[in-house]
Parts: sequence; structure tokens; C-alpha cells
Amino acid sequence: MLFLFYFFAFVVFGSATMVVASRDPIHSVLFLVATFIGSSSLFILIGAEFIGLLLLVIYVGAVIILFLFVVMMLDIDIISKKAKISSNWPIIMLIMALLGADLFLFINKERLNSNIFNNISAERIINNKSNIIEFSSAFYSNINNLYNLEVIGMLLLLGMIGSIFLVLRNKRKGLKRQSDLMQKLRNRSSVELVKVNFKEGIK
Amino acid sequence: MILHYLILSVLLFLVGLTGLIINRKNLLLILMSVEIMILAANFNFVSFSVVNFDIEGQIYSLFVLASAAVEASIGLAIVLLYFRQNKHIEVENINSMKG
Repeated sequence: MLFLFYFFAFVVFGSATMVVASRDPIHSVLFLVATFIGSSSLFILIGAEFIGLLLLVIYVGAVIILFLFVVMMLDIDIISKKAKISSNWPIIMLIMALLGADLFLFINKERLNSNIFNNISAERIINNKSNIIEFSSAFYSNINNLYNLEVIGMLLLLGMIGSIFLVLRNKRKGLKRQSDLMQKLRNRSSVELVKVNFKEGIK
Repeated sequence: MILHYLILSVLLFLVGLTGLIINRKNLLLILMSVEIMILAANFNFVSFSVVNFDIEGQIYSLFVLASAAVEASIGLAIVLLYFRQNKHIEVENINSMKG
């Protein structure tokens, strides 16, 4: 169990580092796939099977493929292969080390000394239910989760409408659109002033 | 044992944050770093949920996953628009998007 944890943790951490360090965006996306597969395995290892499988289905199946599509759609020759990093990277690394030390110090070691793998087997013995049955019964019996579900549905709809609205280029014929340049190029000669006689109108 | 998961989560978060700050060339890498940071948050949710025998943490992890997917889609749409306008996706002069 511990050996599997160390193996997958090494996969996750190494490929996350390679996502940041890699020069080619396509390599970054593929290492992101490795990160998500490794973390899905870690979730399955501690008994959260449903979240692990969802991570595979949602992330590796949909979101990262979306990333891959965008990376391929943008012209890879125009994106220069040299990854330029910020010039003040020693300061950034120092700040990150301080923040990491801070976060490590905040982990309360006495309170968190329980063995997570013993907890899984204990939970299985107490509940005698699989993870997904427990998940779904908790999910659909609590009214707050249903409200949250509605909110998430609206958010997904909003995301869909927003991204379509942003990316869609409307080039239909006969659609009147405002052009800044044409509007600023207008002068008096483009306007014809007509003297209109009473009760005759413009011929 | 949960300490292992928490430490891995901290490390992942720091890697994502470093990638977010340090990179100057690629706008897509910022989105990927944000995904890594969200994954670190999910690690905390799931491991505490397992330790405390409370499934609610995994349910919230599901909500975090859904909102991260929405964030990725809108972010990629903005990246596409930026590329269409400027023919590059460097982060250097991106404050020219400011109205």
C-alpha cells in the first residue's frame, strides 16, 4: 500500500513539475494527463473510487482534450519553443520555499496521526457499503446538495453560453454591424443635404 | 498516513503556484497551473473526507471539479480570442486587454 502510494506520488509530483518546466505546450498537456491519471490512482487507493473515476472521465476525457485541441489549433510555429521564464526567479523560489515551510508547519502532526489505510477498512466494516452507494445516498438525500447541484448546472450552462458567445464569429450576410473605421472616415461629403419642398417629399 | 497526502497536496500546490508566477511565455501554461492547484485542493478535500468518515468532502470535491471544468472552458475561449487578436499568446503585454 505504502509502496503504491510512493510510486503514484512520485508520478504525480514529477509530471506536475514537468508540466511547469516543459518547453513544448503539447508536452505540458501530456504531462498533465499523467498527473491526473496518477492522482486518480491515489484517490482510488484511499477508497474514494467515485471521485477517482470522475477525475478520469471529466479531466482526462474532456478538459485535457479541450486543452489539447486549443494547443493544436494555435499555430505551434508562432508560439516560440523557448520557454522564457521570469528574470527574478530566485526571489520567486525563495518566496515559494517560505510559503511551503509555512504550510508544512501548519499541519498539526499530533491530530493527524491516524492511519488512513486503516480508516478505509474500518469504514468498509462499519458501513458495509461501496463508496459510490454511500456517495449517492448522501448526495441525493441532503437538500443542500440539491441546491448546489442546481447552482452547478446553471454554472455549466453559463460556461457553455459564455464560451460560445466569446468564440463565435458572426459572418452572416445582411447583418448590419458597426465599423469604427468607416464611421470615423465619414465627412460632410458623404452626407447630402436636400431641400425638401412642402408636401412633395424626396424624389 | 494522511500526512503523506497532505504533504503531497502542499507540494502540488506549490508547483502550480510556481508555474503560475514564473512563466512569461505561454498563456496556456497559466491555465494548466491553475488546474494543478485545483487538484491540490481536491486532494485535501478527499483525504480529510476519508479520515473523518464523512462523505460530504467528496461531494464538495465533485462541485470543485465541475467549476474547474467551467473555468477551463471560459479560459480557453479567452486564450483563443487573444490569439486571434495578437497572433501570439505571450503573457508579457497582456495588460493591453485592459479596456
